[in-house]
Amino acid sequence: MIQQLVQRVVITRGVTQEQAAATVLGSDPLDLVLHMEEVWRAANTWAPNVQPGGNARQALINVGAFHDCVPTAGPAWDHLGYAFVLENTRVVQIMRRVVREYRSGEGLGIPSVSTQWWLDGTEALLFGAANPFASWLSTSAVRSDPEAVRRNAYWRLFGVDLAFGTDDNRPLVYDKATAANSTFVQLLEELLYELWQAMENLRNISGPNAADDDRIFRLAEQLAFILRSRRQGALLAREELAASTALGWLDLTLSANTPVVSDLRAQATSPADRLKIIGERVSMAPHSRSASFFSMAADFSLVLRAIEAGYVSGPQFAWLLYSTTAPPAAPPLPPGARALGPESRRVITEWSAATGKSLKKRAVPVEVDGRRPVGVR
Amino acid sequence: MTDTKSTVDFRRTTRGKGAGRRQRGATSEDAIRDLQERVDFLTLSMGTITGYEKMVNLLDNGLAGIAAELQPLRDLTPVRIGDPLGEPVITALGVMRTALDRPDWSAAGSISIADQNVPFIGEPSPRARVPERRVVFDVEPEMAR
Repeated sequence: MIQQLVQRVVITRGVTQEQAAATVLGSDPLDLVLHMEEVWRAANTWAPNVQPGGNARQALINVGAFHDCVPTAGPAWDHLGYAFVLENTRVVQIMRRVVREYRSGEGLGIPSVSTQWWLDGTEALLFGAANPFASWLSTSAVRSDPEAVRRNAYWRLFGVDLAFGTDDNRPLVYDKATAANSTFVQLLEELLYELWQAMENLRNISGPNAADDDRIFRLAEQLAFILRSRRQGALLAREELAASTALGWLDLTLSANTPVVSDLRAQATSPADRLKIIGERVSMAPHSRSASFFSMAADFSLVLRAIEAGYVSGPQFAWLLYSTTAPPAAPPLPPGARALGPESRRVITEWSAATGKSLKKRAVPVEVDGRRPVGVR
Repeated sequence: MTDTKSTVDFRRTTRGKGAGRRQRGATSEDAIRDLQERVDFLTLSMGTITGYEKMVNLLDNGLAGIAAELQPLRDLTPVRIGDPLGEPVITALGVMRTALDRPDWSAAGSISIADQNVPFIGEPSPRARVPERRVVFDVEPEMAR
């Protein structure tokens, strides 16, 4: 949601993206949370039932600093997959140490005023600092740790845990739901393999063509089935918004040499390099494949949203996931509705790099039979 | 394919032309012989060039024949079926892309926020600022109700 907010500030106020980012990074945490409420209200995930939030909440939204940057009707936040791949870099735990160091001493130096604003925002958005609105609307004494809530959501939707444990490398204890999509990774990797085959053969006019639109459709359909099975009644939507907001905040923080990055003397040319230097400052190494995670996060979000939305509703629409344009016989897509080929290609490349699995060679294929289309534990 | 006639000895030409220039007082027979040699050389060169053209033509014809024989294989290429998306899906795709649109930070440098030096609390300083009071409640009447 944070990166999208920056984009809306650019468009609405006609400023540069650097100015917009500075505005967002230096804003009051309450304004950010109010905008988050506005995004939540605009998405109206429970439609056609009553819209979430009452008049009091709406009145407060209207006095927020970003009330002019009206979000679109669709969910204007990233898919939970965006938060999942970014959190796998260990950025949250590294930034927790940064906050702790700055708040408990002067070991990292004296933070500038801008960095102190950033600390306020980070504590409110990520670490549960008291705020008139909690960004984690659903966190309470029952589930007080935002990281545990996120891990629970990752487990339910993707059937996997993060690549690391607690801050001191012990297994993190959280509520592991019994209903989890344990086949997600297997299905996704098989789909990515098939998409790669289709991309390789996109301009092939002679010889064998290994592209299989029907298999792409079936795998995308199965992924949609299992993702939707965890989303009935818009479940996990609020957790997804909160997770993508929290990780989006850190994504924006590392997108450029922002004030906190400069204060930590971690100026570099990529988010992964900045995180690595910051990690060295607080004695915690990020994931060795952080560059891949940062690189694919936004594209992964788009691809998962499209799959879950069921845009590929038949083999004749499989091209949407691997092509860059509409088929030759079809009219061209309007400028705002581009096909997802470039995003899928980025995910294939970076997922392979991050996991060390080659998606260009066939591993053991998954069974796609009609009797158990949904792999739910 | 080696054609002995196609071998050109460029030294003969040089020697012939030089001989013509060096022997100013040569007889007309020598001049005729010299000219004859040059005509022979030109004839030989023309023959070589014609031979190359024949070879090129032969290759051209051969490749064209192969291409014509392979042409029916195009029909064996699996036809990729691709239907245009329906209007609701195109709209939803456009909304999704707009909703998730984000800035491109690939060439980003620094984002700086101009901070002033902060005076110590209570320090009499011209830099100390009185906080501005702002009235922010401009709620629409019907929303406030």
